[in-house]
Amino acid sequence: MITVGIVGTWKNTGKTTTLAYLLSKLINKKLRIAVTGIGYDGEEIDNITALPKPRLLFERDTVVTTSEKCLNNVDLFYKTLEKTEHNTALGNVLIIETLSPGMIVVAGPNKKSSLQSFFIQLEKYGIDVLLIDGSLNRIAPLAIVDYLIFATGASRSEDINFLAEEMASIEYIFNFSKNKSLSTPPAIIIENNNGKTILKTSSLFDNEDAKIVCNLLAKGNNILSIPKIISDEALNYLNNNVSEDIVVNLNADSPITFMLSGNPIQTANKIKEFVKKGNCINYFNKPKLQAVTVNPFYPKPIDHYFVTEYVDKSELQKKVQNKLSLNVYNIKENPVLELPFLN
Amino acid sequence: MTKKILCVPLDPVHDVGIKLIRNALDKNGYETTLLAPDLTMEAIVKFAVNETYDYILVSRTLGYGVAELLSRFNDLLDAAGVREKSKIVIGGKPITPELAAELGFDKGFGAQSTIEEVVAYIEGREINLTAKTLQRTKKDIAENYTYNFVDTEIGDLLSNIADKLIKYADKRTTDSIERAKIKEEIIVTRDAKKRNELQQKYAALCDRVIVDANEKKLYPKGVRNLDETELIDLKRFLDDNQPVSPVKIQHNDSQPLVFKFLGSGCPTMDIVHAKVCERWGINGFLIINPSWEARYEGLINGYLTHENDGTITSFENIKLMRESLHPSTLLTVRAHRGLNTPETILLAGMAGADLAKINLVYGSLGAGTDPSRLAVDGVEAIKLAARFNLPFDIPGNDELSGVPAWKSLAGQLINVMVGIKLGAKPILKPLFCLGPHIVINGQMNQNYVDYNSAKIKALRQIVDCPIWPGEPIAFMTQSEERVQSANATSYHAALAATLGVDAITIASTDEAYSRGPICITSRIDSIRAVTDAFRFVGNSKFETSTQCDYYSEDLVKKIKDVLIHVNNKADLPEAINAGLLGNAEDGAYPGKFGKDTVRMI
Repeated sequence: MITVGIVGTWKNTGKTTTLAYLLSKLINKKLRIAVTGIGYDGEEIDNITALPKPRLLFERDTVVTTSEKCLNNVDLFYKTLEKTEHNTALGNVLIIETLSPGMIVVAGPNKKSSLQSFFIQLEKYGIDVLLIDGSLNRIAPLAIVDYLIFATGASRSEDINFLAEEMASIEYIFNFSKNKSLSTPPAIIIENNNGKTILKTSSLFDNEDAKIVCNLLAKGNNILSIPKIISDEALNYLNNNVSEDIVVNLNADSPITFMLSGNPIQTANKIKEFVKKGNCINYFNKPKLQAVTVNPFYPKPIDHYFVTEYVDKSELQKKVQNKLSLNVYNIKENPVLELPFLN
Repeated sequence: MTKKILCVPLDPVHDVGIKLIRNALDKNGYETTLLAPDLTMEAIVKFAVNETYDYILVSRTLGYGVAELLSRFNDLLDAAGVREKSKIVIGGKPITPELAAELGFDKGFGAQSTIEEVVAYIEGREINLTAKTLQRTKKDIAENYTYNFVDTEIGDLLSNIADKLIKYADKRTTDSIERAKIKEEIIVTRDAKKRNELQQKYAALCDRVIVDANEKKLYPKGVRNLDETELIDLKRFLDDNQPVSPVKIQHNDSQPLVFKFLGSGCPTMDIVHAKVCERWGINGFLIINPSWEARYEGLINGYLTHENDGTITSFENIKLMRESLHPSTLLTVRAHRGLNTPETILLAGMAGADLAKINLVYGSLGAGTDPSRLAVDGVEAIKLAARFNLPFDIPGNDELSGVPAWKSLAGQLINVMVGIKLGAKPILKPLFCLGPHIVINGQMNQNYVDYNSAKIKALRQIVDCPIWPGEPIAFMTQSEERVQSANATSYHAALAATLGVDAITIASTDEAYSRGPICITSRIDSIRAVTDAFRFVGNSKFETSTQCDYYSEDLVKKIKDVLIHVNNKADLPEAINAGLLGNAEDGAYPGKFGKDTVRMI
């Protein structure tokens, strides 16, 4: 089963539109498709801006996950395959199969561990491709997918140069290799001439955490494995306090680790500084970054309401593409997103 | 083992909500930790990592960009492994289950959530929000009143006037009175043949329009029968939907009952609106019927819908509404004008309505019915109201015309005395807002408190009788702005509450200017505004200026003067025709519908 996650840099960046496009493309390939999500998607009206949202139209024989309370608002015939133990704010997650074309709100497991066990649950239905819809700018659960498609757009910022810079930073963060021989350790491990030290913690949240690690690094090569969070503050501390005679081979959980700061540009700069000092980075897990979609729409706040606005769509696509080696698509204007992993 | 709960105010300033929840959880024996506001997310997550909490309750108001902030927080918790051991819950005024799901939380609590629900969730209990049904009993507005006249001089005048009126009516009858008797038999008889005969007798006393509708199903324009499917769907809707956490409008039991109008034309729409209003605490409804109905002799039968203002008065419609409402909700049927007054009261009584609206004076002056006709019909209607134990409210005619308050109140008091003599339970309904006469003469130029209070005070100085201001309160002070209209209603409601009246009728915020049916959100606007007004005033009082006493004394004096003049006339119709209770200069004219249709027995 191939898993594809669609993640957004912000709300309303085009995840649902991208998902809808992928659905339409995959149906033509006669694959058994499943769709889940880490939030709640397919509703008519945006929960925050109250603007209309793109709807998800499913063909028959699609496996979809939803929640008990979402079944009050279903526009298709379906059969319930399974009621899972995964609980969300809208009740337990259900796995259903559509018996007719129509619309349904997608809801699914909301955390990484649930999603992981969910993959196993879904495989028994003979799924070829599982599409996982992101939610707002959430990304942590999607660290375990095979492929990621990023959706960015003017909702994140009306400054197109910023959008391009940010996506380039994200691409940079994703470019480090996956270390195939390693699996994620349970805690922070430091290996060097002094031996192997296992800390009680598994994240570097702040200077205080980073200082403990720094004190354990030795001259020469060090392998530093951090299974969970590395904050910008901690990375900054490492940059400023690790001397030049120390080399750090940092194994982080996944590129997602470095996305959690919420400021990829800043994080990428700190990583560049880290790498410039002769250090390197590998990942235990790494979803392959497949493509980027751009959305010129943004909700403009006026008093207590939102209205629809757009930035220049050509300029948006062009500038973002110029900064990336990945292909950049505006799905609505030119729906030709390639998925080579399906070939 | 005691559950451990981390309370996180993820807001630089607002942490009152989470503190209230935390206090409640402490009282329920949970081990809680409250973090300070304005910590960084990384600091909070680090704290959550170092301990094992069963629940992490996050409090945050929502603004632009905050959703993404909360998403990032969830991501940090997920990546740090906290979500393996802790359930993450979001609380804040705008939070809905859908939003909580979108943000990735395990549960969300919003403005309507109660602390009880939060505790139940933590305890792993399902709480049935619809199990909290309306906890109220039906109230009798007229109970605890003696109907004794405090002002005995006015009482004596009214007694003479009422005696003359009852004597006048007793010698006369009308087709409406006869139709009421026949209709009662039709409703109770099971014999099809007899029913058919009665229906023909009934038809003989009706206008052609009514006969065509009842016999040939040729309905007036815009009227049709509700079909079986619609009735089944309505029932299913009512069965499938229960009020979620119904609330009470009143802050204490001495505050007035609150009523709203129904009368969209469609009983289904009326009922759906009524159910929503019930959930928000409305105590009762008044059905407004179409104005054309008053002009025809006879009423149309059946479950009827009408593509215009006013829901048709039929036995079936009233019964459907009564059965659809909660047992504690009061239902009033309007019968204060037109050619079907006794029959309407009969239908109201037999269909299970709780109250009626009758005013022999207003119906003759402001609503077009001939004074003689309405006098005779009205007395019969009051007798029927007494028979069916329907207290009846008496609306004034000073809202829509320039009739001064003392004339309107004098007219109402006449109805009160007639009601007393016939064993019924009348309810005074003084206008409780600006009115044309007041606008011209300036009694409310300084404030709306003095003159409205003076009316209540004056009436209390005259008789011990229930008072239900309307209709609705604040109406002429409303505008097209919803917030302003809600405010206007709430201020008047607050004043009414402090005056200790028994009930009030409130309008929706779009009622004054609606260009179509009232919308449900506008109904809720005014209900919420009144709820807050009642909470605001509680058991306190407004302080009137000295003008209030002057106004109330003046009102009592002028009411007396009017009644003296009315008493000098042979009967009430003569007094009405002479303009004593409202004349052309006041903008009040005796009605013409039903003229010359009264006959001697």
